[in-house]
Amino acid sequence: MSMEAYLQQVQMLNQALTRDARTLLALTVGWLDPLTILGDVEHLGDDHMEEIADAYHRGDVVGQALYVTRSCFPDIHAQAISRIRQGMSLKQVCNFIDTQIENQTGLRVSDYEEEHAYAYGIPIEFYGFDIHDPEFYENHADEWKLIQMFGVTLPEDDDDNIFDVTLDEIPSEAWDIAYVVQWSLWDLRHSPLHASLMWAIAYAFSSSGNSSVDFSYEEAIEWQPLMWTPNDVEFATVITREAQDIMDQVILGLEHLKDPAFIKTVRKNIAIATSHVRKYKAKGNKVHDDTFITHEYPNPFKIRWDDLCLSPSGETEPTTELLQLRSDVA
Amino acid sequence: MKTNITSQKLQDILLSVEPLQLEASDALKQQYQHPGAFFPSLEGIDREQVIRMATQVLEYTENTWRIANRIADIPPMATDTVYIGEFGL
Repeated sequence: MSMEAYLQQVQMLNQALTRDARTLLALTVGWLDPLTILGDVEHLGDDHMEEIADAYHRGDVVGQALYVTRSCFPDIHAQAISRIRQGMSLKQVCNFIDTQIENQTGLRVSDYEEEHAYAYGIPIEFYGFDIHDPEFYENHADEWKLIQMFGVTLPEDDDDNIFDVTLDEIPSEAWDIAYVVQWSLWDLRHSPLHASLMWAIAYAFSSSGNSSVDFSYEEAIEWQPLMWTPNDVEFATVITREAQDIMDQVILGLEHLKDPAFIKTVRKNIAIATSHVRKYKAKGNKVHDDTFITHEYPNPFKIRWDDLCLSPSGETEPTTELLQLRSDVA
Repeated sequence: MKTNITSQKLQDILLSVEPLQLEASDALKQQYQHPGAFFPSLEGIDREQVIRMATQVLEYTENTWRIANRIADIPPMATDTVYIGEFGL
């Protein structure tokens, strides 16, 4: 029999099978969701698929990846199954799944430190820092400089106490001033220069409202992680994408804060905000009461930012290398 | 909970259920119009269509699994008003 005749016979056989509704249904499920069937059948004669089924039900790395895709990413699951049929190695299939999930969600699953990105809930990156960390001042020198601009200083006459300065010891007034300055930029958030400063302050004072930006890994591991369910994946994707956008701005902002012209305006407005906050609080008012500063009324002290600019040669661009470095030390 | 459903009514209800049209089944039949693998590759199929097909099939298999388990959990019910001919054999 020629190859052409053979293929024609296979084609005719396939077409004949699809004329029976139940056979077509079985073929369809076998095509896109074979693990459903394989879970209850021990011997199907296809060792490779059995191996996949075992992994799936045993919950090892490949099984976890397939389980997650079957629950949350049906298209990736179907494509992964298709690639297994084409003879792709399980390692390659895992890489394919990782890449596809990263493309769709922004979640970093391929270079997850624990190696089992799918075993302990959704891995979310946390960019926040811990000021209690002895290496904080070295690893986050830019953030520390920005925090200092709001009146936070080391204990006087005792340089050895540098490691005793903690977030708890930052005066509440500094938090209030940072909050006022950050929100005074809200209406200008579509200006890249202003947005970079706003998010840099929000990052330095953990007040962005995005958990991924505001909290450190050490803080986050105390929480119950988001699970691999469609709803949690959607939530994690929103958080992650927003955090990446914010951190791009943060990197720009911290770079801008090395520019003399930029710093000059920031210092001037911090001084203005400080004066307003002191007078306002002296009357017994609170800055953080959810009514004084709102999205609709973000700049009650009418702080002006028209003159915020960079020196003629001071422009910087964000780089992924910088983001990676900042993420690594966070 | 007791209902006054008769075996004829139950048969009518089951027969009136519209057959589920799976987009993946149509796509599979389409793929079989050309010589190729028994389980064709998904390459060349639009991603949005793959999402729709896979989602529908996964929902279908999950639903049938759930329904089968629920039916299996239905407790036996004594009845002396329904005559099933085969039992008399």
